[in-house]
Amino acid sequence: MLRRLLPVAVLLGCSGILGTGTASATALPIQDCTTTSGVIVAVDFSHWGGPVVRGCGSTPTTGYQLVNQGGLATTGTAHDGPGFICRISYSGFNGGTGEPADQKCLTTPPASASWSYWNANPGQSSWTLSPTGAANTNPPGGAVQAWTFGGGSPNFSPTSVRAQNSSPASSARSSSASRRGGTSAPVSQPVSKPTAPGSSTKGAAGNSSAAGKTSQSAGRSTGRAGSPASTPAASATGAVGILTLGSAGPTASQRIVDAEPDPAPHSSGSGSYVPELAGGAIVLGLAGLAGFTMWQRKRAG
Amino acid sequence: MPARASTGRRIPRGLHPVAWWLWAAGLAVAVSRTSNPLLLAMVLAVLGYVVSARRTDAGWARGFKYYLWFALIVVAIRVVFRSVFASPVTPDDHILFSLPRLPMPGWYAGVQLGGPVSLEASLSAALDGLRLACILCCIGAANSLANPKRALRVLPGALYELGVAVTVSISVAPQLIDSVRRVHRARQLRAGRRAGVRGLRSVAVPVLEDALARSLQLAAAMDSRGYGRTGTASRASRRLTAALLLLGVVGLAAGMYGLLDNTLPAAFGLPVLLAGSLLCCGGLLAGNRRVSRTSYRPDPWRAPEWLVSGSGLLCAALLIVAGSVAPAALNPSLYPLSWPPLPVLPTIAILLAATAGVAAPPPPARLPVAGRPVPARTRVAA
Repeated sequence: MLRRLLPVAVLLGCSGILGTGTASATALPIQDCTTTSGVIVAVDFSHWGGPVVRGCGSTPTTGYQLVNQGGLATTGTAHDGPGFICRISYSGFNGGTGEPADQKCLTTPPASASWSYWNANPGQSSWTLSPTGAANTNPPGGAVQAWTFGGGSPNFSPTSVRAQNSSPASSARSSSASRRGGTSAPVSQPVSKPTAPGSSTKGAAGNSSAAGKTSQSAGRSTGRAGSPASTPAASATGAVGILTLGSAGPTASQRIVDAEPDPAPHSSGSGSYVPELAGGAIVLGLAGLAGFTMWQRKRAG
Repeated sequence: MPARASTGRRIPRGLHPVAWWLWAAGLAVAVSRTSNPLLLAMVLAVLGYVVSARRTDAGWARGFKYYLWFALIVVAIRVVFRSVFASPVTPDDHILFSLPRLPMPGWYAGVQLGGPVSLEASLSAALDGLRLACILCCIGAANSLANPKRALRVLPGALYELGVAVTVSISVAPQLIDSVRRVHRARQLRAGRRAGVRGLRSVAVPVLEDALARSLQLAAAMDSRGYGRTGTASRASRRLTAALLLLGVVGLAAGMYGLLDNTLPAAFGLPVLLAGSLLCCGGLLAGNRRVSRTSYRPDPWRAPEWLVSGSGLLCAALLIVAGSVAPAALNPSLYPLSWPPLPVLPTIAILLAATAGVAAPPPPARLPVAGRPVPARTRVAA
């Protein structure tokens, strides 16, 4: 029942983000999120064999803003607009096409193919299904949000994706400046599998692109080896950027990928006036014909 | 071939009511497939043209403009509701105005009252309303074009048992429009017209009274002509018919629900729907068998009937095909705002439906002389 109501809740709740001061919300490197500042959003692509993508955003923000920055982007339905989230994409997963790719996103997708939206405020160790839509949720600093597909609650705990450091690491901050220049790559953290991500048993079957991307990112992030952070959970410590979470880690072989703060491109509306002119001409022609017929009948009778 | 008089003019006659209903149902199905404002406007124009060209002069046939008003109200209600119950607003939206936000308690936070109203949301609501309005106008066009009393005659015999209910339900809309026109005319003739709520009351009460009285009168007339008679049916066969029909309707409803709800197993949808329709058919057949009825002046089904109903059904089929081939053109996105396209196939399909205005024979004059076309000039004003 709750699952079926969820799209409605997402739609109805996604209202009025204006006036909440979202203009200043930006994507931050993951190291800038601490236990008290910044909000972490985790999007679970494991339904398609992908990773859990983790991003960090500055406050004040909205859930909608969080899942639309740092390489993450949402697609609404054509009928109800962008606030009715149908698809979530990550630039580093499946070419950024967005999942579920098999939904047309013209009208409300079925309950079995919808994203559900979970919250955990600072200090909370369990997820709560958000009573409000993403655009209407203003998470406080230190909160964690999760998006899972298919309606079930996340199979990772808030603690496993939450920032553990109490202050942003200065080295991380300096590296974030260089990464904004576009030379960076996502950091991959294969949990409880300290081997190379490409050898993951889960990745062998259907998610070659995700596994490839992960191994590539692991290779590329060697350039960041000189930026160790002070806490274990939110930073890359190894030379290849692979991190094994301790007891706080999820039980499943969940890979967590940190999203990059790059701006998502905005598409702009377009279209030509020609169809309007042609359509208008046809409508006017028919209306004129109707008017003429009526006039003729009135004259006759 | 359309029947022609010796002078070359086509002989006026009323088209078979089922042909008009099939045509209108086809257009309604076509409308339900699209939210493209150009196509919707085109459907409205087609309806307007065909109704103005082929309606008769009877009272029930002059009601199309009331359906248009009703359609306008539907669109307005939709837009108002979308504005009050605030809809998603993203930073890219064009904000028209902002309503004051009503704070809601936490357990009711999923619904927001008030807030910014975006152009996109208002347009989306208006287009949704327009689609519903178009479907309403399709029904209105069928009600204005097809004689409701003659439509009653083609109902399956099993429904005759429900005599009064069926008569009232089918004829109440046309009767209502007829009553509105009569009351309006009477008020115009009288002095001291009142406006506002009191004026509305002085219209609404007599209209409702008149429409219901006339529907009941019609039902009584139908009853005296054999409606609601069980004939020679035994109690057992009556019960069998009733059980079959009831089970069939339940099956239809359950099957429809199964088809539309994806969470139910697939076996619940189509099979149940088919079983329900089979039961319904069985019930109707069983009901028909024991009702023997002869008809005086049967409505013929000739080439114009085929053309009219075919054009409507073809329009529906073409739009369903177009919807599966290129759904984006039928449901243009409002996010981001852009001018809607004009897809070729649906345009042709809708214009095809407009040929009903030519294919149908001209409507009979108000006081037809049997077997002879009435020259338009000599019509008597009744």
